[in-house]
Amino acid sequence: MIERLLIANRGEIAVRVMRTCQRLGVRTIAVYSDADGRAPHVASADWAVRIGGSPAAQSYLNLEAILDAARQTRATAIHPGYGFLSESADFAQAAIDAGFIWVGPAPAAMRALGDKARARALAERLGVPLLPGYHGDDQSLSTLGDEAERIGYPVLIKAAAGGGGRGMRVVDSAQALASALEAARREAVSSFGDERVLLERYVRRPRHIEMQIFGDERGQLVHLGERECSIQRRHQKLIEESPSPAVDADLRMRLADAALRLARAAGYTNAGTVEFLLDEDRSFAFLEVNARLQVEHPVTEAITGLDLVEWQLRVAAGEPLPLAQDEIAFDGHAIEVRVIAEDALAGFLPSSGTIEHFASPAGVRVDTWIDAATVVSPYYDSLLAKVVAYGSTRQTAAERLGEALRQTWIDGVANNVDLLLAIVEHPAFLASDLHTGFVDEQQVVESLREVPATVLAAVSALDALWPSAGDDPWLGTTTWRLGRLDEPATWARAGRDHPASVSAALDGRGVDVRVGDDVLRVTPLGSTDADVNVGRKRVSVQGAALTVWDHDNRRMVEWQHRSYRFGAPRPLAVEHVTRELGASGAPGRLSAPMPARIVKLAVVRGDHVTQNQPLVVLEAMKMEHVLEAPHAGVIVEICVAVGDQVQGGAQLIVLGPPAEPSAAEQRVE
Amino acid sequence: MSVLETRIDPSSAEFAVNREHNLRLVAELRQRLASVKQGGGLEAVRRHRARGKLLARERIERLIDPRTPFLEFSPLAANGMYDDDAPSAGIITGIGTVAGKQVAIVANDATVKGGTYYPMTVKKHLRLQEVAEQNHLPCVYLVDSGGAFLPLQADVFADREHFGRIFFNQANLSSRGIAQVAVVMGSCTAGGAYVPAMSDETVIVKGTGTIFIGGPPLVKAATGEVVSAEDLGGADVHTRVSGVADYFAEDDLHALAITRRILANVPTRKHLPWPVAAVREPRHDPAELYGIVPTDLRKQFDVREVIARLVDNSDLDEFKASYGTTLVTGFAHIMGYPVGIVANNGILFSESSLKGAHFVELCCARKIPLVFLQNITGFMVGRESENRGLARDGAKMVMAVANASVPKFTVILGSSFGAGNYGMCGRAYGPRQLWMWPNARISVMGGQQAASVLLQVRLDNLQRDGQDLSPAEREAFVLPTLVTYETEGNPYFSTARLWDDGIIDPLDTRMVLGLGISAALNAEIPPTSFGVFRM
Repeated sequence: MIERLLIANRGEIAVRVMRTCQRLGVRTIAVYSDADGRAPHVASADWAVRIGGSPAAQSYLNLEAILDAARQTRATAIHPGYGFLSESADFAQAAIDAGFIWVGPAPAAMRALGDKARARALAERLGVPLLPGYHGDDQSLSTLGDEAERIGYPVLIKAAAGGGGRGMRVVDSAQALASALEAARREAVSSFGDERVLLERYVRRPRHIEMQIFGDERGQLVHLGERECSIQRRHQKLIEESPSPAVDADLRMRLADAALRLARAAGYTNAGTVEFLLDEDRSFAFLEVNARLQVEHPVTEAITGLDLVEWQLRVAAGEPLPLAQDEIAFDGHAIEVRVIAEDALAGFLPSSGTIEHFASPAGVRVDTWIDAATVVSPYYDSLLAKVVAYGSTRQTAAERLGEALRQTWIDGVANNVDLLLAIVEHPAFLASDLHTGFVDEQQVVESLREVPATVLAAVSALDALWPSAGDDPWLGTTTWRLGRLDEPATWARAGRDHPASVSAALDGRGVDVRVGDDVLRVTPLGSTDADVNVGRKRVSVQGAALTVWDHDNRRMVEWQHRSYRFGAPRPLAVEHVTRELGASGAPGRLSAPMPARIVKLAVVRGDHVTQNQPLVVLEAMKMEHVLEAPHAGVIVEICVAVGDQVQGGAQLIVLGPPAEPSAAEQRVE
Repeated sequence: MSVLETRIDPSSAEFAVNREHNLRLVAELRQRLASVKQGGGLEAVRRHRARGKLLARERIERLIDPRTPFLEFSPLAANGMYDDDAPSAGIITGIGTVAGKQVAIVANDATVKGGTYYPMTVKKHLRLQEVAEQNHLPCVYLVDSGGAFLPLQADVFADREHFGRIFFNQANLSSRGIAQVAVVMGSCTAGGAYVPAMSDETVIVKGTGTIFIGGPPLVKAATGEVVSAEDLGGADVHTRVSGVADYFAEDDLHALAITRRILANVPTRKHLPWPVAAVREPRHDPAELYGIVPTDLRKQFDVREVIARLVDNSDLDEFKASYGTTLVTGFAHIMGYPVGIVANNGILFSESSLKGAHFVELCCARKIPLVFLQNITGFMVGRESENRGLARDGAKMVMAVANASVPKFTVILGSSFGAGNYGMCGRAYGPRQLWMWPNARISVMGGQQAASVLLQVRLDNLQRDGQDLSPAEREAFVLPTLVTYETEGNPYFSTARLWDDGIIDPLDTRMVLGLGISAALNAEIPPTSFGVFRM
């Protein structure tokens, strides 16, 4: 067995790998960048080595530094996790050459399957079904344009190296191809160091199905069932489950057969995932192979009862696969959600900051690296936690997941828990009507803005109905106003404020809550003693009974089969205001909406721009964001240079009003 | 402690009649409060917002910590005055919590005549500075005002308690270590320029905030120089060039956020001379107050029924319960804070005055805040009373109350007539706060008594000449007096002129007192030194 394992990664996956190591008695070595000096994965390890600066290129992508760290700590093996260098065959080879055990597929298999174009060619040879596409080496715009015409729009652009949806773009027409290509290449370079792209037919309502495979060095290969990862946003997985409700025994057999044929042909070892698109007619097409452990591996673990990291370590150490295919049993259903630091309502803008509070749910598996006070830096992936619910049926698992998400609360960074909950409770999700465009089609993101007046009235009324008896009347949670009239209550759902005002009813118990133009009478049901019913309060809103869960700074109501979670009004703070000023684009100033690196400046001083013209391309948390001109005007000043790392709210560009026609003409001369 | 019993029967007809009457009074109060919250009217509000500015009340809401109280003073100031052109006298004042500490806040309402200062505006502003001084509270001035209301300059400019006093107070509050923070969110012209200039720290909002001694029209008239308001005294000029202001804000919200940070950096501490007890709600339902207070002021009610609905657990340990029974004195807690209650239960006699003086001395010796519950038609008159030295004993109580340096709070539950007002800590006796119930009346004596006194004097004069008045003539003679006293004794007349800090719904009394006592603890309670008591 492996003695000392270096984990060339960070975040939840590093913590998760270490957990298995601790169980198996394997000593662990963490590596960390400057930004991660106090990160939980460092604290979880037996040893930790600093490997470089905060940008990933200087640390987690710095092959030499990681190998040095392994040598220095006398590691015997290296686990790459996922992302970063996990799919770099060069890294795997270098690790092996330096005498370390590589916990992953052999470099040759990685090369054969990790590169999309080569994997496709292999699949074609083996008769595994494929989508029409272009996977050639000629990356010229004219060739790609011709190929796109041949495949037929809409066309999907993908990075040739790597996966995870980074660098993906859907292009609807030939006119949009050039700019989409440019952006996809930039993202491909920054994520994988390889700007090559491929083109594919874009299927309208596809399901994403993938097979988990495992091989050992004796040539034994098994599959551990499929996972469905159809719930995505911006082509990145959000919710994964196993088994797929769309896959029956027959389809499973055909998918497994295709996956294992590919793996066998490539001499595949260790953990891998073969991804397919499943069309509505149940036909499937091979997409790509992820030659590593997947983010969503816990759902497979949940229904097989296996520890895939343990399997990885055993196989890497030369042991045979612990189980043969017919010994692998599947039982029940598991669903995983990815809790991500991003603001869904702001176009999934990544959020960084310090976690102020993290309420982790009970009764489910939570793979996370955050805790109160963890700093979520802008340098890395914004995955905060994975919550995995298990049940004997899909319905039970979904119910448990919903309950877990209701309990999950994170303060300090924007997060997608409300979005996840809205999906998990969505009738179409519960009916297993899934496809990769689910989030857009069902307008789940927009639904986060909605709060029924009845729900808001119940949530807003609580402080007035159950006044807190603090030590000091000034410091309780009583928004008392003279006459108990027009007491403001502004609770936030998914980071958006929902103001209401509360007035005591003149003629008895209860309050009148004004929500927009409506006034709703809310009366308490049961005791109004502050010490009774702590955490769970019953009210009547215009005669309808509701229960409000009340925990410190958050409240939750279930109403008509949907959950509405609210955060308490936050005190006005300079940092928040400046961030919003930047985001709303105070006239004349364009500010960074978040801490980010400047990737591209699309304009120069003096340029005349039209409204919505792209001005600056920023990269944060490995995602690109384009800042557009809020109005037509003239670039007065550019305050940053390409490559700069800027703070959220930092001024980037000063945009003056549109020049007078005469002035413009003068400029042209 | 001993829990007060109640003798009230909520199912009685009297209770129902009282309740209906008092609810009507509270409904009237609510309606008046709602009306002044409209500020200067829809059009003025629209124009104000169009400039990107928040309304005065919105500014306060964003300044204070969310989910904390705001204790507003005199929202009905100037009610019925100045042709009702100045709701709330064009200025919002009160105490709120900012960054966890109590702060005295003044916000000009520019929708009311451009936030200019009427006489009552000046009085309200000065009153808040007095509150800040007494309770040692940092001051925040949310300035958006065109200065003095020129048509009434004679009543706002020159006198001791006029406009200039604002700056005098700023200087002296600052010298006592009470932080002075100005936020310039509109114009600060002429004299008004001194509010930010006299402040310890000043924030100014880009585009809307201006500070100058003479505005552009005056400058042009005086020197011929043509200059824009922004170039003359805008945010950029004052934070970069002149140094008149310290912090540049992009907009109102930004300015308020900066102000919160300024206050977070003002160290404050509370001075508790005694431990605070656990808060317990009254055992008797405060909502029953509506059924207790009678429809007619002349009808006596047991003030213990009110105390039982104000104090923690309805606990009152009475002092001298069997002596001078027309004054109830005793120890209780309000929201955990120890208080000495002094409450009228009839007219004042020599004994009740002596008891009151004694009890006030007790509370001062122990630094216990005093709560006066006024329902007093006056002292007992007549030969026996005068010969026993009522004036001397009444003077003892007035002396004790006047000298008492513990925080004093007064609530007028019913009548507040004559010297009773003085002995029971009326406005002139410097209570930290004075509140009135909507049913209360305040005047030198009751309207009926005043009319009878005047009639008697008139009859005496006539009778010297051998004349008399017919019953009809007598009625006609007293009517104007009755009308005048009813008008001027009305709480809305009082509150318009800042004889009090506001009219409150009786149900708010406990909260108002709790907030007041807590805020008072920001200032150390000094030892009381009494004057010479006439023995």
